[in-house]
Amino acid sequence: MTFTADRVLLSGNEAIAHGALEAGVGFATGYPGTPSSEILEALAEITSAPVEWAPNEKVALESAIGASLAGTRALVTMKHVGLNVAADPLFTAAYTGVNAGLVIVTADDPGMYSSQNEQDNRHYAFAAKIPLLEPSDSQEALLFARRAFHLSEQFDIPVLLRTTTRLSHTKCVVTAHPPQSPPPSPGLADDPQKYVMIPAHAHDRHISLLQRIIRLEAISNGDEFNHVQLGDFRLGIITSGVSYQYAKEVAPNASFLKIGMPFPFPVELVRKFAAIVQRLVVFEELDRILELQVRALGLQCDSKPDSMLVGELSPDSAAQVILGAQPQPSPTLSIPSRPPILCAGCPHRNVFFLLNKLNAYVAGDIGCYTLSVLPPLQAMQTCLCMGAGIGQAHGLSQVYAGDRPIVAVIGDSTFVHSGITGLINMAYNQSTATVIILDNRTTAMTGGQSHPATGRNLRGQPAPELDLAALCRALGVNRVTVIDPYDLAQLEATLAQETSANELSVIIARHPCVLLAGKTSGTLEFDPEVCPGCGLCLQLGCPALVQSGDEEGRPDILLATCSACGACVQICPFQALRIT
Amino acid sequence: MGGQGVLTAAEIIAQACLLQGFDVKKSELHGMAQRGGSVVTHVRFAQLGSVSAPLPALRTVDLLVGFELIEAVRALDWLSPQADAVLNDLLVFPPSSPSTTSLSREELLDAVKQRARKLVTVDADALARQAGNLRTASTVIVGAAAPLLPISTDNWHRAVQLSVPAGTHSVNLKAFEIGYSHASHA
Repeated sequence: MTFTADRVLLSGNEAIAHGALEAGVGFATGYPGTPSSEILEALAEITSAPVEWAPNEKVALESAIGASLAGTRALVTMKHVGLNVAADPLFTAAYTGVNAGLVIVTADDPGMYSSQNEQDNRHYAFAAKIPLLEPSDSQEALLFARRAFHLSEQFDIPVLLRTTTRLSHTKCVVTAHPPQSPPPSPGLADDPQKYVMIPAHAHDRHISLLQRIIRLEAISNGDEFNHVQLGDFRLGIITSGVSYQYAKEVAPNASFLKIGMPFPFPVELVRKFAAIVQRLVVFEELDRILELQVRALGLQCDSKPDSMLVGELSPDSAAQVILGAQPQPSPTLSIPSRPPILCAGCPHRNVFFLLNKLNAYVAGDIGCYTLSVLPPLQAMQTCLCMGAGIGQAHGLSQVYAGDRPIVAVIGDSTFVHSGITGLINMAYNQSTATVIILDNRTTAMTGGQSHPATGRNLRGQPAPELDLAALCRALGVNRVTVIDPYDLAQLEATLAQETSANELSVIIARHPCVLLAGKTSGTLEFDPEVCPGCGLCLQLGCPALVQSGDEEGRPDILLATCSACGACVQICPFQALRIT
Repeated sequence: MGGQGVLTAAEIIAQACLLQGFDVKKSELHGMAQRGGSVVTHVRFAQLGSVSAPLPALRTVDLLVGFELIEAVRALDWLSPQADAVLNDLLVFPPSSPSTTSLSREELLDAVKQRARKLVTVDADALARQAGNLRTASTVIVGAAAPLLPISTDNWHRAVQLSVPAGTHSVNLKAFEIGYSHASHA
């Protein structure tokens, strides 16, 4: 691939990949998670170094630490909740420090566009005491990513690089440069006092950590990441990330203290800035992290209302907080919402249709199948975090004495991520619930990435394939059934049998994701003469079968959307539908 | 709606802006796009100077390019009082919408006419068939929007080629031209 210093459009994620490449990164890993997934995908296209999907973020961070120990610069990427999974190694890695540079990307999701929460991962930097870098556009994402590896080595500490959805997925004009020749490797680290965290060693490393943070304060109070822009001194805005862009848009002539390194917090710089300006405003998205640090210094400042603790900010939020603009309500025609739904031909559809029919209590998990909670399928009662469906189903089944079948539903990638230990728990503590592993041969919702049970690696090359059925049996599950969810009759019989068995059972519902495998051959035909308008097929919530609005209640078939999976054909009691 | 090629269309426009020498930011949301949900993409460009915010303020957007009528109406709050609208004349009720929803194509078009200064509608599917491939519908829509944007024909053509899959350049260029000439004559 040839590089020029030309202007190109890069998303924040692509820019991070380019920055890491320019820093000579030699090992990269993570777990897919919106909005971080494209970083590794972009990196894999521009380097021949190992770029891998790990089963989960904890394993990913640990393996990156291993690469760093061996003297290779390493990058780990994940979404915000992913850092919860990687938190165990994170906190202690701050103590040990690094050998070659180690950079961890946390991609937060203000507005929870595709997440279970909108936690603010800047807190992790303060809690773990590691430097935090927060770019405000793609060019900065590239520069900060490149610099982060050097900073990590210079101060012997992992560096947290924080992005948000709006930054990761916005394309900006960026100047990319050819990669530098890789830095000389520090070689293999052999220093047990630094890396083996028995209490005696950890005590000394904690003291060292506090000293390293004090030395980092010089960088934080310098100009490199935290930058004062002097403008009208009557208004001084402290802001960071994409919020800086919104504030700049509405108050371009104000004075700014643009924070690119929130931790260690630039105390001296903030004091100097506050002394220059008349009115100080702190404008930030999600939690009041910068604001509370400013107030802890005894400084007065204006800030956003509590309503802006929720969701993404915008130029309108900036206008409200900085200029005192009032939000204007706007009357528009009332229109139906259009939430995402399972694709036409999705193999999950039949499973949830039948679980609803069984009145099962479904402890669900994270993936495309979480969409089954929405009408008309409405077949999920709880979804908390990765792997939690299995954990919750166990707790439920140990004490629930009612009639509803307790069923855990989890995807193949999610199961490998954090469902295995939950299933061990169920076997060991003798649960009676039913676990359905929805095996569509991919990590679908995040864009169809591979995982250990798919038989291919991140680059699409062949890889050893984890045998899920054999694994379940090895964990001590006696009842393991593998079926094709496209076969409605067999699926219904299996569900009835396994949920009524008073023993732990696993059903692996295996059929490739329709976005991977494409449409089934054949064309759907509908005979309106035979259709009495019972509406049962519409209960599938398939985008190819919609209300026609005719008096009888018959459906409209959108042939261009239909994937000929046959679900509606099998459900129709009147044989009004068939595939030819 | 997810799956209609909204991101590709926005990519073509953003690349065209870049080729024309403008600063540009294109904001998109991944993951949910293919699951048929609402997809809104913003392209902000500056002929002089630079673009700060990736998202505009409400009531400041100059051009709405709508791929479906309900989604176009959903986006109306973004439009400035002098905005133009280029719409694909397609109405698809969300599968989960209650059967009591009654919204006509005329009501939706009226809502847009009240907020937009100029309205161009195009039957993107029909024109895409003319071009030779139904999947070029999003490029037809870009072509229909192109007369309203300050970008040269050459740059449009290069942008299309940069943004569509290899092997589909000529059919997409044809789709672009069909959309362009349809809108120019409207």
